[in-house]
Amino acid sequence: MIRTALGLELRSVLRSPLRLVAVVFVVAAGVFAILQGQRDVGRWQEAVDAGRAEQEESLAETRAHFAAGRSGPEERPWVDLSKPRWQDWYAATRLAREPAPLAGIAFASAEAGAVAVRINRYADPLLAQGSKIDNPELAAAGGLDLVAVLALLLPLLILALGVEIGGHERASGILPLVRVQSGRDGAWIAARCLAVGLFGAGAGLLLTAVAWVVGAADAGSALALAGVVTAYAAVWTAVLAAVAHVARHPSQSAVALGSIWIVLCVLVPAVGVERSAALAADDFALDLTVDARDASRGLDELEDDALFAALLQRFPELEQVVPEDRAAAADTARAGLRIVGLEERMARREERGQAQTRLVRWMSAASPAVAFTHALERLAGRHPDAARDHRRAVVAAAASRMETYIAAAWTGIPLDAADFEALHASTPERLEGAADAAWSEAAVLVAWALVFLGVAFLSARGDRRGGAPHTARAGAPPASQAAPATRTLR
Amino acid sequence: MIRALFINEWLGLLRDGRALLLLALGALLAVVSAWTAGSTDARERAGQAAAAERARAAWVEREADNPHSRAHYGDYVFRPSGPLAGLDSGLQMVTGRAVFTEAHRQNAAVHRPQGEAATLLRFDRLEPSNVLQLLVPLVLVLAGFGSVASDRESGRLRLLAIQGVRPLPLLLAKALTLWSLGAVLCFLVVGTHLASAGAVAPLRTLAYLGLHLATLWIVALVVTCASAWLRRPGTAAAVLLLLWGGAAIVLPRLAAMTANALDPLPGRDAFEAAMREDREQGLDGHNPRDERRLALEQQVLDEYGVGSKDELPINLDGLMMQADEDYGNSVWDKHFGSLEEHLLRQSAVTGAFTLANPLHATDRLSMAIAGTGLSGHLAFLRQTESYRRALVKSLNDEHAHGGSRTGEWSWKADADFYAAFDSFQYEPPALGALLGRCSLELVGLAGWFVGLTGLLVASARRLERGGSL
Repeated sequence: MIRTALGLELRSVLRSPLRLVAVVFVVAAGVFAILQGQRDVGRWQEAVDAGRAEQEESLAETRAHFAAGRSGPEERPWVDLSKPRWQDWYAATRLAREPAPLAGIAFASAEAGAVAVRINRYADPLLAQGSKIDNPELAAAGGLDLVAVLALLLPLLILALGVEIGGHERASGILPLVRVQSGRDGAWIAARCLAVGLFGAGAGLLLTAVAWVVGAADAGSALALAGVVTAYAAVWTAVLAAVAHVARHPSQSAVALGSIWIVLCVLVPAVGVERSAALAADDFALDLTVDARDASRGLDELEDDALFAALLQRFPELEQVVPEDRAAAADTARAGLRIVGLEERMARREERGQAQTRLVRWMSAASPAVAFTHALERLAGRHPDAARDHRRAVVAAAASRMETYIAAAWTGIPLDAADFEALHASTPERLEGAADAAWSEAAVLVAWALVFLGVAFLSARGDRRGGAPHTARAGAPPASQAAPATRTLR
Repeated sequence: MIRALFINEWLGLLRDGRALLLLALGALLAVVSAWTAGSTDARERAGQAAAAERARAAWVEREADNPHSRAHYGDYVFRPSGPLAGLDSGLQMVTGRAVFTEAHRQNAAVHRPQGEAATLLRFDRLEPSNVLQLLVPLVLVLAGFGSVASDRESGRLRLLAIQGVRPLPLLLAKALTLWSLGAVLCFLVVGTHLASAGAVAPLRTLAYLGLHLATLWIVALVVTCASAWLRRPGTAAAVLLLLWGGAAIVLPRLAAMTANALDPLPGRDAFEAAMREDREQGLDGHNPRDERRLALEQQVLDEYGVGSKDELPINLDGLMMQADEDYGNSVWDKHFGSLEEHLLRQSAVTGAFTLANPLHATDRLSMAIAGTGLSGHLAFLRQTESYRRALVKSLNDEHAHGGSRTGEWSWKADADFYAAFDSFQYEPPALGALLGRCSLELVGLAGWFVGLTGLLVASARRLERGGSL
């Protein structure tokens, strides 16, 4: 039966210009979005490369000074590269966040973490800017990347191709004929829905393949993407089946399918965004701005004993190099405590962000569109978790730099080129962008598909048991219109 | 006749369970969205006021300070909400909330607190403007797709014709019924907002109301015309839902993507590198060996008729730093001026799409009225920069002329001097100025208004000629 249904749906797509245009539009929009995504990845890579070039320039300049026996640039006589503070400044290592293989599919993600942060004692990734300058007007519009095309348009394509299934059969009186011919009208509707679902999944998988090839992604990422896309297509196929089994007329189907799409893709996410805005309403980052500045200045008033105790609690290794003259070393200790403050701020921010993370998790469960978007952003490595991992890496690298700096400052031994190279080598330069597993979101999608399939199954069973009419209750012209429709079936 | 038909259509709507359900759902959404967005906006305003107060307190509490130390201590400016942000928060969700103003450099607005919920930010908020621009049109589509097509299918149209009903009054009555349904929801939204909002901006609220009532008339005309032209209610429903999806979801995103593709913005690194390069051409206020500094120093010595810095009755460092600032300001004007032009060019590209999409035009006009659009954001950034310049200049002037001598970096101005500074006050651009920048959107909406009214007349003639009645 599925072969017959597939043939029927294929013919109706090929014969109907409107349906053909819909398929072509979705595929073309997807391909365009993929190409735009690749351009965006190119710009990301350029930003990383530019940071790296500046780093290499600074390293080369410093090496030249060491080779020439100079203490620093001639026009800046106060620079002394034998001092740890200047070594820290000139070892201008960038910790870059490399794009994940499928980063291009989610270029419109609102996650705007920095992609390359210069590591030194002053590094503060909490207020660092992303590599892109955004036009807020375009950012607010949402962008049409592959994630948006698949999340919003793929369901519309499946629903548009299958809008008449069930309703048309009942309204035109074909269903009794199908029952007479095969004895299983419900199976015929299910087969037609499956055929449409296969078209939708095919379009999605075609775009997945293009994204895989264009992005030169690994097979694992591509397979994961294909799996999530298939699960999402299954959800909307199940929606189609649930409606097709109860609709008495195509207009009923249109309204029901449109309403479900709107509720799941617009209304439920909108409630989530509103809640997110409410959660963030009074957050003006006082902890990262005014309070952080004042806490940093407040360190000046800290007694030496308290100052060193706090620092050594965070960096116990430094205990061995604490100088006799603590008062002279206090400024360095204060600098060290600024990093401790940064770590604390980051921890508090992550805790505060938990409410938003939980909200996204809840909204993922409440809407397959959100779950799908979440899953794809994870696979693309353009997700708040990826930005958070980068921030953590930057803070860890800055803390490590700080420890090295304090140790060198307290021992007071003049530093040389080897120390400079060791300092540079001790800082990581890249954080590979990796596709995160999206198992929980995939499970949510499967659950949604099962729920709608269950509804479809129960409707079909109820229909059989209750003997519900197989034709429209009013205005149906069964006998006269059944003939041409039957011809279509054959 | 129109009145009788209008009342009849309303009675039909009220008798239809689906329409009643839609109306109830629409009303619920309207009230809930206006209420929640209003309370979120109130909390945001309170949060902004508290943050500004905290920054002010920190500034005042620092007491005596060297002016240049204070210039590095800086001041924080927190983005205020637009005048009608409770109805349309516009771009506020994607713009940074805090700007650090300090000497030597202009910082960008940072901190978007919803970063951890980035996945959700792709979708629209359930706020009054989105309810009126996206969901109420949808209610009109669902309530009205069969208004003519179903009547035709059931033979009611023919019956009405026999009773002497002309097509044009009939279509007008149907469009008016749909519009009035939307208008009820629109008044509910604005009414709830007015009931819950603390301060009311009457002119802007009226403009907002007028804009959305006009848009809903356009939507009502589209629905009525589609229902009149398409024979089957199912086809009308499918076409109208596709049109809605295209106008509400796809076209705005396509417009944004097209603007980005046609005229991409520079990367942040490239932009900052270009600015840094230009900045380095100027005078370095802190480098005593800088040639331009030496030239300016000589100029000041000549002006005061003295032979060395020590003989100057003023602090030369303050003048040097202000000269550095003046140069930096010109660099900022050049680069941010061109960036602003670039943003507005991109905005013009998306603006062109509004000619084809009345919902997008309404969205942009609504943000302009609410003071939360791109123009409002750019005005905030410009005012912040003006504030920074005035602040740093006052501090440099005090450094130069407050009583210290060149090289006296430990000299402190007293606390009263700092307490006398006014904190940042945002003046939202006037409504007329904001709307003046949206002429394309206004023309587009007017075109849709007139064109669809013409189409309604044409639909009526078609019904009459085609004998569909």
